[in-house]
Amino acid sequence: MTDQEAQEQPRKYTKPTRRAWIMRGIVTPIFGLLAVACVVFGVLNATVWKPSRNITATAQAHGTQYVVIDPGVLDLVDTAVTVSADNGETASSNGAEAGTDASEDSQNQQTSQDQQAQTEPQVCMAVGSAKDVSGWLAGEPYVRVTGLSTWQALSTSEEQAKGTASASQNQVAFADSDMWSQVECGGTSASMHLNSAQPAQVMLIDFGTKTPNADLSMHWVRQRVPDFALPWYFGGGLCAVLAVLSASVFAMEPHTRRKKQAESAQARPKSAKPADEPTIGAALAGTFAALKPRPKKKAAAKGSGRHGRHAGAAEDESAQQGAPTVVDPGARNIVAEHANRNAGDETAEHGAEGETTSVISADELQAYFARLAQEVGVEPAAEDAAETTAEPADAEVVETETAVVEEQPSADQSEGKENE
Amino acid sequence: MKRSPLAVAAAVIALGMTVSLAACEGQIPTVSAPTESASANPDLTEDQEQEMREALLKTIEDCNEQKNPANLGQAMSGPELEIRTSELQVAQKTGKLDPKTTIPTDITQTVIPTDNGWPRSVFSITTTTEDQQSKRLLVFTQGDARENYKLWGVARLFQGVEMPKFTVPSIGSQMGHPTDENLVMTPEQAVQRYADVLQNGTKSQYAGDFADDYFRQDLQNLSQTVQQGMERNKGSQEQTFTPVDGQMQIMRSSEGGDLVVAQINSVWTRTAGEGRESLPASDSERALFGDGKATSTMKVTYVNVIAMYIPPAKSGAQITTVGAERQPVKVEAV
Repeated sequence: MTDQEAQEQPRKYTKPTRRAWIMRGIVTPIFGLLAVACVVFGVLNATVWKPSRNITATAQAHGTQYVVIDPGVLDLVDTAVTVSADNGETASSNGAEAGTDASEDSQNQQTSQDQQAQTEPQVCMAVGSAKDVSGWLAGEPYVRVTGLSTWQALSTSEEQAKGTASASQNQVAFADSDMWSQVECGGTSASMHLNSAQPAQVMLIDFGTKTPNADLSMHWVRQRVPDFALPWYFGGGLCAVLAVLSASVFAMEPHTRRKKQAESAQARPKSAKPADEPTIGAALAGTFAALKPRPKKKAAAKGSGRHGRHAGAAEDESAQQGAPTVVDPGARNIVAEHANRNAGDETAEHGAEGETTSVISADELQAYFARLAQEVGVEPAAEDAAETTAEPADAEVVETETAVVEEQPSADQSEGKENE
Repeated sequence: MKRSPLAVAAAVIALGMTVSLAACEGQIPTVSAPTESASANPDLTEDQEQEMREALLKTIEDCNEQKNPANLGQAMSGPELEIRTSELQVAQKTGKLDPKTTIPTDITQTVIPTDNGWPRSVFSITTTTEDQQSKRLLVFTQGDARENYKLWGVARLFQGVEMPKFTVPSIGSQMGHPTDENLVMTPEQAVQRYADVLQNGTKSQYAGDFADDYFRQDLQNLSQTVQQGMERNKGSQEQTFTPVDGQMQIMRSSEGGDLVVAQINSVWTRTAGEGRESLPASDSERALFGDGKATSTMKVTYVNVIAMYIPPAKSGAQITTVGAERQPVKVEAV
């Protein structure tokens, strides 16, 4: 605090200490903490919380012989997928077999496997097209795997296939059908790996007979894991930048930051400010006036792109004053009037012209146009200066420009035209 | 104690953030609605067709080697089952299989439809045989979703015949319909009328609808030769051709016409005059007749497989027979 005060005192300000204190004492630490937190979360998301590449989803099917994995499910997470099916060890169908399986006695198992080969239907899975699978299933109930309900669970539904079951005498075993592009079979369980599953592919699993508790699992290895760390790093970086800014730039007093602007604002008396207001509008009008003849010099008009930006506003302004119209050099009376007025204002060498009658000679007209061309040449520079409004010198120019155009409201419409 | 509310709030926030930010796996993917194109996929891939065809030809080859038609039913159906059974019976007698029974394992083209229902068929055209016999048109059919493809028909394509063009098998063709009206005549009519042309030759009212072909010419020549012989003996001969109901496979070509493969059975009755015996007219007939007792009349049943291209109606062109197969299946003395 004392240090800051000591620093601030030479500037002769009392308030800035408080602002700097808030910025450096409160805002900066908050941003700093946020930045650290973001980075920490980013690191966590990139390491321990990183989304798992291995996705394993399971489902259970009860009392069904067939399980169908819908089109689009095989390649849901990644094109490489491993599907495993297990008919629940056939525990309920044969108690003796279940016992031998549990005991894991090698000799008994051998005999039980022989028995199984004879009595137990195989678990088979095949990949085919949807129409072939529905043809095979015609008239049969089945369990359908429709997608993922969570990252760990498959969503299923029980369905009844349309059509009538085949009554053909020449039926072939499930595994022997020509329709499948890939078949895997096993005793009580089967598993199949597909390297590039297609969206149109359907998997049909045949448990051989109605199984009370069939287990199904699908395992994908994701090639593309969502990156949750990067947004955190980005946020962290942003907070760090904000912390630095709030400790430095934002801690400064506004007039310290914008010294020149403040100085120019102070230099001008308060009463001058209302005069500034129309100044901008008038400057725009002047811009518009300067723009008008430009189409003849396209290169110049294109050179400064921001003129176009003000064109709309200028039009509005001129609409208030009366419709901006085409300059008509033939309107001699108006030129004469203008010349007259100029003579009164500027008391320049044009004074003689002001005294002339309404009829102007060709020479006078030429002189007028030469002057007009000069004015047009000057006006862009003046307008540019009005835009920046930074340098005091420019401010003067603005004022002079203003003085010229400010007459417009008081003058009649014809004079407005003449300025162009 | 003063700090406790702050501590609790901090703990809650920390816990909330941990739960909400930790271990996120990302959004669960959803299954997009299946596209229509999925149902328009070919029934088989080319690899599946090859696998299926080679397995069938292997079974047939085994039967050929054993000259035993018992297992033919596993690989064949329709007219080809009858024809090959007869060919093997002949081979049992003669000791060797007729060279025309050769089916090359390589193909030049396969036509796979995208049709959803059953029965389905697949047309494949083989290469020429090693002894430069003409290409074979193989027709495989699958009668039911739970059955497998079987070789339904084989037609030997005529030398130099121009086949219609078909969509590539990766896109898939379409099977035709027996009563398709958009052709110069429906496939059903075409087969019936062609049977009439075979029976009556140039006297048939439909003779002009069909372009001349080797099969017709050969049959005509054979018939004339036999007729001349019979006339010398004051005998007679008659051959009737009858299309077999339902034994027709149709595939739409990319030009809009249909390639039709159909079974036409024919019965050739030869009656010898002047108390003579009527004897078998060929080695095949002789082998099939075996040691049977000849009488004055001999009735030989033939199975004919005809492949014809029916152009689209607007073309107004003639129907072209592109290939055929003919085999006696039964020889009996009446």
